[in-house]
Amino acid sequence: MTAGINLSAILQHPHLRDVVVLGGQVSEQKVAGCTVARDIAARVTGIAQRMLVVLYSSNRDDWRLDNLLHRAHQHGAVAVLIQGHAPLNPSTTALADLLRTPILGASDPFAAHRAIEVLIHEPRAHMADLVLAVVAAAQGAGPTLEDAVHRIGEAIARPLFLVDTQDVLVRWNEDISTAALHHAVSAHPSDDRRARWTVHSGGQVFITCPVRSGTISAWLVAVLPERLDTEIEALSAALTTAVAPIGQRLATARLALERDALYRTTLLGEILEGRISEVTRRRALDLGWRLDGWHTGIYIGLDDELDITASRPHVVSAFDNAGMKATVVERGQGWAVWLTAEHELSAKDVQLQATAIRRAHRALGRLISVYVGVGRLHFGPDGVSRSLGEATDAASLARQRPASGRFLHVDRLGLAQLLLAWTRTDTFQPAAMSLLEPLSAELIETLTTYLDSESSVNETAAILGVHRNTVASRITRIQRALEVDLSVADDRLALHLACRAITTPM
Amino acid sequence: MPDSRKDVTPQMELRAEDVDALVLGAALLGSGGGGKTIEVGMLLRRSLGTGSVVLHSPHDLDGAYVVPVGVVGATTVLTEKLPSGREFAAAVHAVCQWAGIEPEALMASEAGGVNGLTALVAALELQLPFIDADLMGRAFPRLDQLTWAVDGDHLSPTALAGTSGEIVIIDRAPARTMEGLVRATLRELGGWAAAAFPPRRANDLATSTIHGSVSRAIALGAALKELPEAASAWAIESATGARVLGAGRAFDVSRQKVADGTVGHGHISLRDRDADSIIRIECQNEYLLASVNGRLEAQTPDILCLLERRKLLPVEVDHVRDGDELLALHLPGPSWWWASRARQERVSPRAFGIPSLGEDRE
Repeated sequence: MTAGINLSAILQHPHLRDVVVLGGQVSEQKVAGCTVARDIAARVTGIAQRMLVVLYSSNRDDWRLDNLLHRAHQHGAVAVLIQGHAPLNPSTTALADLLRTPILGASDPFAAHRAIEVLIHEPRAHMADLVLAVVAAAQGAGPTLEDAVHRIGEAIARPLFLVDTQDVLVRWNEDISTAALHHAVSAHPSDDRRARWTVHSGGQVFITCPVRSGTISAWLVAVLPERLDTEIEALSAALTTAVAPIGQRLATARLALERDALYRTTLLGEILEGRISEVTRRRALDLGWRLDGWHTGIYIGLDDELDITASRPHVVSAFDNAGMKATVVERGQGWAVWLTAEHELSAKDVQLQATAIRRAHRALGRLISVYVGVGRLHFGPDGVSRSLGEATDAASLARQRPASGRFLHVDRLGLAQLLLAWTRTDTFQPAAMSLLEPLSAELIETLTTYLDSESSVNETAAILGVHRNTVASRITRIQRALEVDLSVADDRLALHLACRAITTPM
Repeated sequence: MPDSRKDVTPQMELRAEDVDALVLGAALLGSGGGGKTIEVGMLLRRSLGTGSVVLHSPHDLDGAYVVPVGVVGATTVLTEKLPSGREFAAAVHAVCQWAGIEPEALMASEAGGVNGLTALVAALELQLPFIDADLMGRAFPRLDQLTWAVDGDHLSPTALAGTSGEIVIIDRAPARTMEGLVRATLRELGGWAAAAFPPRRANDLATSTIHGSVSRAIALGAALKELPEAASAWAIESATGARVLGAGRAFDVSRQKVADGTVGHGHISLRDRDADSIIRIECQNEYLLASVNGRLEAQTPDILCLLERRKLLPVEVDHVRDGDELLALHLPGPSWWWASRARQERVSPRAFGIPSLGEDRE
């Protein structure tokens, strides 16, 4: 005899929605099968560990119902299922409690019997039913992901979700939290393409099935209220069947996204290069972009190798939620964003807008790792380009500055710092290196300190802890080696920048 | 009046001091039905005075014409409108006049409930010898459940005497028809009437009646009366020969009232916390079937009683309320009923519309 399966899990199966508990407690009982009796007077034998299903038994006042319960209990039955949902007499309810043998009611006991038998003894049949139902549902579904997931969800009659690493793409039930779904998905080994299941605290079972489409990683997740192995196996097979139609819709949706992204990126490219033709204007207008007015450019850089096209909705909604209508375009490994105002903003408005942008940054930062630069206010189509240019520079500076929250606003930067930032570009660095090449590390340190100390030999000697004559002699050696005159302002500036470029850690 | 025909072993006599025991015992034999015995007990005590009634066995009076008497109809009305005693005389005389004989002795038609006492009242009124036998051995609600009717004998002629002096004689009716005719007549007579059934010779009573039922009632009642308050189940069982099914608080008391005011099908359950069991009694006018934890324990024609837990007073079917503390008792029914399957079937739970086990799988 098999150990049987949990009665409580069976009763939560969608095929047994017709079955209700009329009396007694359903807890840890295990059911090994069903035995059918014609009516409550029928003889019952061989029902140990089984559920006794009585086909004709609607009269609740008949004392023989109590007698049947007594006999079922004596023969070791797990539960008695009778006809109808009408409540039991208090005596019968009390007896079911006393004998710890629950009485269940179903409007169609035979159908309930059949469903239970399939769950216990015919797992392959259950699997086949579910797979066919999912195939039919996918065939009948419309072109959208939502429709496909909803219909498959209806077919399996369980909460079903389409989840990616960051979000729940389609939700067909409100009861399961996004965190729980992501927890389930994160437990799925990335190299395992089969459906897997995990039991969560509280007994819920999450079945995850990867959907791979090109670079996209998503999962179908179905949730069962309690572990029921037959259903888990059937659902695993059914979800595997659903992977193809869902993947195809994901790819189609992705294709549309990519097309839009390419269109946006190209259009922005034209604007940034200053080639603003009538056609460009019209296309921008079609996308709802505003080229006139006062623009604030923002660049949002992404640290991780994340999919910027797929993540764009996060950026859009972060700005939406902060109360800003932003234009967001994929650019580089990040997004170029700008805000447009009809009139020039007052200092206070700029302040308010900066606060709002910070808020959007924080919201976004909770989802993905980003750094943000914000440009100054500039006017007209060229303004977009100028402000975005500043924003991009500020962003590359912000990236190195965890201290500032990886957020820099050009208005708040010293111009000098911006200049300094430029010295860290790929073209300036080699030039600085070759300019200072003739000098030893000791001489570079002395030169840097001397220039930082406003060309004071005394101050330099104090900082370095050497005699002032040593400093003077080193300065002479430096001027000779570099063939420069440190009293010439231009030479001094060039050397100061070069020193700063190679001594300041990136 | 003294018996002059035969001299036998010491006669049992009923005196006024035995009435309390009979009141209790007749109520027990009523199996929850048959009417409240206390008021008729008062009537009987008055009728007895300082005298007594000898309880004869049938063969004491061989050859004598014996008339079974009792009250038919709604016993609840009976206690509101007590018999004067003259109704029985009127009914007995009417049936004997119709049959063309003289009454020589009386017996009870039914030993359970009020009729365990009314025939004695009638015997005192008519000054006729009383035979310690009856036609049920307990209480049943229908005339076709009298032993004679069950064994295929007719109940004709039967005379009814109403409280206002009416006399109705029904003759040449089969037992089932008799039941219907009597019920119809009772509606006109105001709920109850004294009934006198066909006179038979005492020597014909040997196998067609239940013997010693009045003395059984007295013995049962006396045993119960002797018990202290809140007696243990063991003490009750050894004193009465009954079996205690359990004791506890009544819950799920359900009785369907039917149109004519009598009690319909229902059930009463007790929760016995000590034994961790549930005692369920199916009932109609009487307690008919008892199960404990769903297991069948007793059924008609066996006798079932519910007693107040402490004072051990029988409680009738329509007096049980949710929350009452009760004790369920099972008394063996008269062996006459168990002698054949045909007899059992006439008074089994199924005869009352209550399915029992193993008899409905035709």
